[in-house]
Amino acid sequence: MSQAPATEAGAGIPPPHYDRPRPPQELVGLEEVWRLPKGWRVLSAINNSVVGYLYIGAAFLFFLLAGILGLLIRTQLAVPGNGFLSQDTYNQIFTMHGTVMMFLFAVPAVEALGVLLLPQMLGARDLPFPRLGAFAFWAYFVGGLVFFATLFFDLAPSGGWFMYPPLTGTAFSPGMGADFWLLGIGFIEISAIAGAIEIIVGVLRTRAPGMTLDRMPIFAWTMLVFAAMIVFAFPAVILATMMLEVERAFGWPFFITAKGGDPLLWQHLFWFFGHPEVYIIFLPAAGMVSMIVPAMAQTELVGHRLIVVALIATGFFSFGLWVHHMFTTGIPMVSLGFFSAASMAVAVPSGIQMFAWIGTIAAGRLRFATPSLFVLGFIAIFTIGGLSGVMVAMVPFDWQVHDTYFVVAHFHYVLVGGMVFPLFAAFYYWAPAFSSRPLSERLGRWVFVLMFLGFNLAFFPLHIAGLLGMPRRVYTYPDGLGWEPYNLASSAGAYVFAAGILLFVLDLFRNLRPGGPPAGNVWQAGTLEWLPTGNYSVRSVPHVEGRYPLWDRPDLPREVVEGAHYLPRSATGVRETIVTSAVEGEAQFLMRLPAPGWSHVVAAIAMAAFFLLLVAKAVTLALVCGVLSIAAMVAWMWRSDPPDAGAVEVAPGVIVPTYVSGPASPAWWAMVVLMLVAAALYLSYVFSYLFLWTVSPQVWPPLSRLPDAAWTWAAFGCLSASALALAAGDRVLRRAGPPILLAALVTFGLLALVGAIALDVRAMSAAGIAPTRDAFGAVTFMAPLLQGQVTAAVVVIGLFALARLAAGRLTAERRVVFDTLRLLWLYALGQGALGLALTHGFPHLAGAGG
Amino acid sequence: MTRFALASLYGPLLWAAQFLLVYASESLACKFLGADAHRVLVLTASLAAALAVTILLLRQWRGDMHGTAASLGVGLAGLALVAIIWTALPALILPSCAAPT
Repeated sequence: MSQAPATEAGAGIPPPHYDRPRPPQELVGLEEVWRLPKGWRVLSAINNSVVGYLYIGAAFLFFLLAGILGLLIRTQLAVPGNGFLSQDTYNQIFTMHGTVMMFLFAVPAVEALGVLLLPQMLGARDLPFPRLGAFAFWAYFVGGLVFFATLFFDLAPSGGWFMYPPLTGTAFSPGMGADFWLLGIGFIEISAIAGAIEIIVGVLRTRAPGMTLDRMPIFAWTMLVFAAMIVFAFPAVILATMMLEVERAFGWPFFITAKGGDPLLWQHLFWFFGHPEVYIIFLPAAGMVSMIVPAMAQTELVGHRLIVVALIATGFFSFGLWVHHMFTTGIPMVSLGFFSAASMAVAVPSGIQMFAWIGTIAAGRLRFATPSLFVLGFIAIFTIGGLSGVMVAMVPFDWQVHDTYFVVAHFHYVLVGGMVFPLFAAFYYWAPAFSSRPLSERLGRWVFVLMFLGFNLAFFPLHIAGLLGMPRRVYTYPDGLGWEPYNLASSAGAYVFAAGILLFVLDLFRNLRPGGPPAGNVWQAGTLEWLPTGNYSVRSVPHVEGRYPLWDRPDLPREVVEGAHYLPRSATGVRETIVTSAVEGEAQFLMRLPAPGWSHVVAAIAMAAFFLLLVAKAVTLALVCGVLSIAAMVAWMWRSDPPDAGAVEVAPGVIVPTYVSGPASPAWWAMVVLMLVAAALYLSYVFSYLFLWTVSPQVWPPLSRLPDAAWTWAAFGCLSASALALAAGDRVLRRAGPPILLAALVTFGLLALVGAIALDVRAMSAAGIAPTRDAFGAVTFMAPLLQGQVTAAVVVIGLFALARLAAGRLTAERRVVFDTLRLLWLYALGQGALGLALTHGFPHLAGAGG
Repeated sequence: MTRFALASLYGPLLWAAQFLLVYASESLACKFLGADAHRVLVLTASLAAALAVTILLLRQWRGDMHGTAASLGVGLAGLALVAIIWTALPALILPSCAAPT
């Protein structure tokens, strides 16, 4: 297709479709159930349009705040010997600049765009767990604001955004700054994971009928890969932050060399997250470009399937790159070679995408509006960043430029080029889908010119400063080293770039008008997010038959508004969305969605308070907030899992159930993703255990000092008893047996699960093993700690299930709560057994071998 | 159907397995078995992975599988093959168990 086609304009609508006009009460009913709370109560809203908006606004606020920090950095470095900032303030500022940009801007910004765009793009009324998404937003926003505010009290972390120990251990960072980083960022990562679960299940299960994976827009593919990467990458850094915080608070020496720990363990875990993180940020931005380019060139994306291949391949390869941040740590040469090779291999899929965009631009006629300018700016800047990336992937070159401004220049080219420019393209491109006025073209061009010139002036000279030997993280430098002109130019460029951002903010104030009817499809784009919408998303959900439904059927917007397609009404009188099969997109189930409320807001704020009060060592108050948070979650979940409302019609001849359990239910999918998160965290732990053993086998005890095997077998016995109780309970529920028997089995099973941990700890203590003595003790006691975490979750859900059983809300048919409990319980049993095998079994092997 | 979609990921999964094995084995093999053993291990594992991916590629190419999953699978297996060969190269060029100098 070369131009937006007008084929089949007069053809009739393919079945299934409703006759028109539709009865007017249908629209009234839809508007009623999806109505937003009025006034300030809108903060209790969970509609993706509201939460997505707030989410993007918050992420952009953090972009501005961290950008101001960047300007302070460049002001300080403009001239040699500058006394504008003290060394300690400078250290806090550059640490916060990196941390806030990465954790509070980049990841949340793309997650926010996902929340805002995905449901409309996929033809869903909302994401499958709207309250979870709203919870993730509030947790991030409140936690992020408090974290940022530490800067004003001289309490901010100062150890660099990657927080390497031993610098960040208690010996060298005795203040609270590092603790704010560890608990604050750890907490915000939990919110990112919650968002990722929402996005995975949303993309796989709530697409419009007929939207097979092959017809799914590239942005949805990138969000799927993005979320999957979060699931596997973030747990590594969560484990690392837990270990460093436990070391700081309780003296468990994971990273202290004198006691058999190793600071390199932190680097491995951090970069196992940190490198995929770069692609976690870049892939969704690439997905935005893959949506914008076809619309601006008015032609289908060239190499659609190849791009999908490239996205998945990038997702995999990016996990084989982490050691390239550690080329100078003395790792054996061949290993460096493996990572160097993988670092070059990952350039291949990025190249595929680049050529696909260039091919699409060449195949169509590019309209030179602001989004196109930002896309072209992205292509230019990101290519330079990619090429300097291949340079630093070469080990010898990296040894020369490691920790110099060359690396700073490289990653700003990658991150600003690869993420900020596409994001601004996205702002200009999608604004008319949500605002009654598009952003200004005239201002937009100026924004682009200032940002593009300013960026290159700010960062290109830094390559040269780096090659001349200027190290990173210095708060000032002496005169006469030849770095002066590059630094002065860079600082000037930073201000030009900032002027572009300022102009953009002005454009937002002048033209962004959310709330009213959106300006609509001003670019003549072909994907579903450009259908006319109300607070209920689309009036009726179209049956998708191609990758560009609006180009295939120019009449589609009118048909959708008139209610000709799926679900032109609320079938059950509450909010609902169609759940489809993961691959083929067949309508399977009508999922009822929750209504607005405050419980998730309370849960999020209380949880943020819990973590931050822990830093301030206000333990009692922290525990009160923790209990309040869990209580709010229970209140929120109590109304979930509504009873079966019978089968309903979503389109003529298409009848679907309103209640499913097991693998058909979205809750089951979400729990499976959560289990993957937990498993990734535990595998990072197993890696840490074995890593510390290879570094310090001397702290592993001889056979004579290992725990008595009787305790080990008793712990295994507890796990087995717990498993049997679970299996029996499942049987009782399936056969609608006596609830009292089920309650007894669940209670006994939970007690056995807790008992296994107690026996594990008892066994270790009896053998004289202590977590504070050496790295062996620390990493050994980490197993019951992690097991305790999962077990606590199982116990809370178990008690919840018991309460629902007592209230008659858990039955043989209405059993999603039990299914969810069962999955996590099974996972806890597996993790517990693996932990016992590792911490009780492996020392025998090590002792016998060494 | 979901099973078929997952099957398209076998190529990158094989690369991941090879990568993990050759990297993780270096510290252990060097500790207990010596440099030659590690080199043999890397080359054997890489050859096995390359063969497996080639077979996978041919099967998907010939059409034993159908639809989107198969065409994604072909592309992913091709990229995985490149990455597997690339990953094996350092073991051919550089000495095993040697610290960088």
